[in-house]
Amino acid sequence: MLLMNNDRRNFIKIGVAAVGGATVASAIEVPLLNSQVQEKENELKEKDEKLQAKDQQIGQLQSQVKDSSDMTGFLTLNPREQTLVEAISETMIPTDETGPGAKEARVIYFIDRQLAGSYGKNGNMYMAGPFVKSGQTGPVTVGSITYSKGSPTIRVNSGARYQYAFSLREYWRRGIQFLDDYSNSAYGASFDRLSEDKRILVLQDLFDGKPTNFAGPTAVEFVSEVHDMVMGGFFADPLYGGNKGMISWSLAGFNGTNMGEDIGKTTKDIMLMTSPVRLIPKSLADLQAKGS
Amino acid sequence: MSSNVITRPQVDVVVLGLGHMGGPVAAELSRAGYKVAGIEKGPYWDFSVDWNSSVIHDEWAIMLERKFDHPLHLSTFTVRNNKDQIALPVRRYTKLIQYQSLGHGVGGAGTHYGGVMGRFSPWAYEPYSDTVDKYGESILPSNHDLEDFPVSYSDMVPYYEEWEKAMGISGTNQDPFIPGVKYPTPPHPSTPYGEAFKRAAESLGYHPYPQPSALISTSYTNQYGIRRNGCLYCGWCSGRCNYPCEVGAKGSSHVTTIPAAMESGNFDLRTHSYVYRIDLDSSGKKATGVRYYDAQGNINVQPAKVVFNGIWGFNLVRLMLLSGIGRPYDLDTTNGSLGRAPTLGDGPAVTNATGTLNMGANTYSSGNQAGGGFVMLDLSDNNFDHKGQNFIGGSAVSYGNYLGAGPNMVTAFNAGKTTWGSAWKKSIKDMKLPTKLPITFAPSGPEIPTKDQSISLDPHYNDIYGDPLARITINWGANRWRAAEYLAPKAQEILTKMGCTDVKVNKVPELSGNVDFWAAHIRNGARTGSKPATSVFNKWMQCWDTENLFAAGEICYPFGDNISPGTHPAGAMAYLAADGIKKYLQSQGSLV
Repeated sequence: MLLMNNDRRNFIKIGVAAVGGATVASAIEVPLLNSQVQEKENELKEKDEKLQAKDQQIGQLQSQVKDSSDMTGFLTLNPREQTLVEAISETMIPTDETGPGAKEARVIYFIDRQLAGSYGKNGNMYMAGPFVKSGQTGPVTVGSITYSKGSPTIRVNSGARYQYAFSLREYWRRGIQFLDDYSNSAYGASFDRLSEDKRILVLQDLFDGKPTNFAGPTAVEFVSEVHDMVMGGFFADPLYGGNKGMISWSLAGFNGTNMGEDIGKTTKDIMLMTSPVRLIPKSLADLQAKGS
Repeated sequence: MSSNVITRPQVDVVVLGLGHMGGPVAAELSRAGYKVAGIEKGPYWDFSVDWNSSVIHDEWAIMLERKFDHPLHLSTFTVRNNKDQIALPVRRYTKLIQYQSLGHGVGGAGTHYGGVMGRFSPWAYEPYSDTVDKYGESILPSNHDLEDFPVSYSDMVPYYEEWEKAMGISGTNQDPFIPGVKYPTPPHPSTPYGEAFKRAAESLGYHPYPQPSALISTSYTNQYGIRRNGCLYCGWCSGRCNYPCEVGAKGSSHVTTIPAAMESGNFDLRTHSYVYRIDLDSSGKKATGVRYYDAQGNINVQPAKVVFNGIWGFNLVRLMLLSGIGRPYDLDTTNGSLGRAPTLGDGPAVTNATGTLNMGANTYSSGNQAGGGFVMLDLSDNNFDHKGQNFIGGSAVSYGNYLGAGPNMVTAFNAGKTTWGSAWKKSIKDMKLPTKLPITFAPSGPEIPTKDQSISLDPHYNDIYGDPLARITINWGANRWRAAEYLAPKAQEILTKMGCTDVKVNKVPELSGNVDFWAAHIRNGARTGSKPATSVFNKWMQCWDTENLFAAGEICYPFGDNISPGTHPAGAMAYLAADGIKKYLQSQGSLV
């Protein structure tokens, strides 16, 4: 800081002299009286103090934005979806005696950012038609061809199961609505207003494929998709917006990007050790800050 | 299409796809003085920059978003289980392991594979004649399409050696079932778990030896003078076969053979180039070259004296079908050879043995996906008597490679009713710091080719340029389950000897697995053989119908044994094909 201010002062001094020089048309130098010098010095000192204060302010702001997982706000989930996705996430990974859960990990921000980006827009997907449902046992006609044994049975979450023309963002919008409709009709209230026990029952019903009101995605497809994204938000690197403070890694004993430097061992040393070693988890941001 | 057409000067050899197969051919031919053009749909990744640890130590990007894998919007494939179903396209990467095999860029899938190596045994080259000789035809399924390789193991030994030298494979020669192996780099230090397995197996009279690994144990310079780093045991690749290597220790053409081709001065590398036709002359018997789209949308015509098809798996078959080469296989008449009777190297759950090893483990950050463990072949091939059995072969049994499961945090939780809620959360506490290691041994039988399976062109779905996708008609065979029924109790004995607790055999009903699983090691769709009626390539990997078209890859096996993931024998096949091409360039005509 000190050095920086001195530099600035010198610069301003030179600047003042140059301005003076310019006003007297190509004069080499304008001599200043002592009193004038003192005045200028004071003026500069005042400016310096102001700049210093500004620097401090900027520093504070920078440290605030450094941890982007502190940022709240939604890019795509609407207020109703925020409430429901939060309620589903907290039911899947509850805050309990084992420790913090989806809420503290900020899983909802991970999901929101995924849905707003490439994932929600089916960025890396093959999306040409036709779209034919898997697991059909009766004849299926596509174009001019009739297939007497329908279509193959594809597992939920398998790459060929997704046979919808709409995007994953729309898939979620529809699924959230179907889930809440089911909650209302089967348990008498919106999902977010149910007790935890009832919420668990709703989710189990979805995994069991009980609801019949899901008009694509199906209940089991939707709840499985949500499940995996909740897990993603809990376990993926904090850079993606969830897993705040690496709380899931601390829970599971995962070291993240820490390669053993904490305990002065190489990864090969650790490989050959027969008792488990716990390191302090580190994130991608930590690794990048280290300038690897 | 109003694309600009660029006609390139003729080369001696045009190599399609620069992965495990294209790399050796490009290196061998360019270094022998031939002009070679290499066509690759993806980029040239620079591992030291593109795969810096601060980029790839990111499970979400690598495992889930498949950041460095084939972009599915370019092309995918469709799958069905029988010929009376419509095949559905694989539209996305998901958490289930499938379609992981397709790479994108120089190195291909080799940039991110597991790196488990191992030669095929002498038996694997003659499974049909040996089986019929010893047990009679009746031990095989009635609609089987099993044939021997047109070459023997001893024919392949020199080519194995070239591949092993190029890759610097780590291992030792301690296998009584595969004679003459001498790996160029030493095995990885064995893990305590691997040692426990080794002791148990030896006490039962088996012959375990260090798992050969393409993720090399020390820095190494190959026969082309290309030097690469040894493994740092960072452990990230120990998750699954998805992670590229940040130090280049993972053997793949981008760090083994393509740099050698580039240094030869005879190799022209064309990245972001998507090949879509092999052109034939007016006789229809000889290829004149290939056509590909470059990234600027130009159509490029590349004339060549020889075309080498090194594209992976069913896309190797697809390009030939699109080009009108060979005789497409017909599921109704069972005539034809191209796309005939493919099988899957990876299988679904079968009857298995499980136990818990009570030993501490550093699951992370350490390990090497393919090294540190032991493998035994005593329960594979015809290494035990199959008299009275209803299956052939068996499989390698190995343990101790994965010092830990790698990051693998998200994929550990593939959707299931029980993997959420408070009880689940409690169960994952300290899961990465275990003192109890769950072990599953699931030795099973190899898939036997059957006539009800095929690779053909899809009538409904096209790639980004409007050409039909490959359509896979495939199902599991019973050989896998039947062998597992027999072998699981033997695996149980090993677990017990290891001192495991809760040792048991878990029954899985025959053919109950999901048949939507199709992955890396698809075989047999364009086989090499001695009969033109059922095979596509002769023993020099020269196409029966188009004498200047050569190929290599697992898809060219007539049989895929269960003792190796299959990459290693394919590498040897690439060297055999390179030799065939050299012979052809000197003599022309059929090589057999």
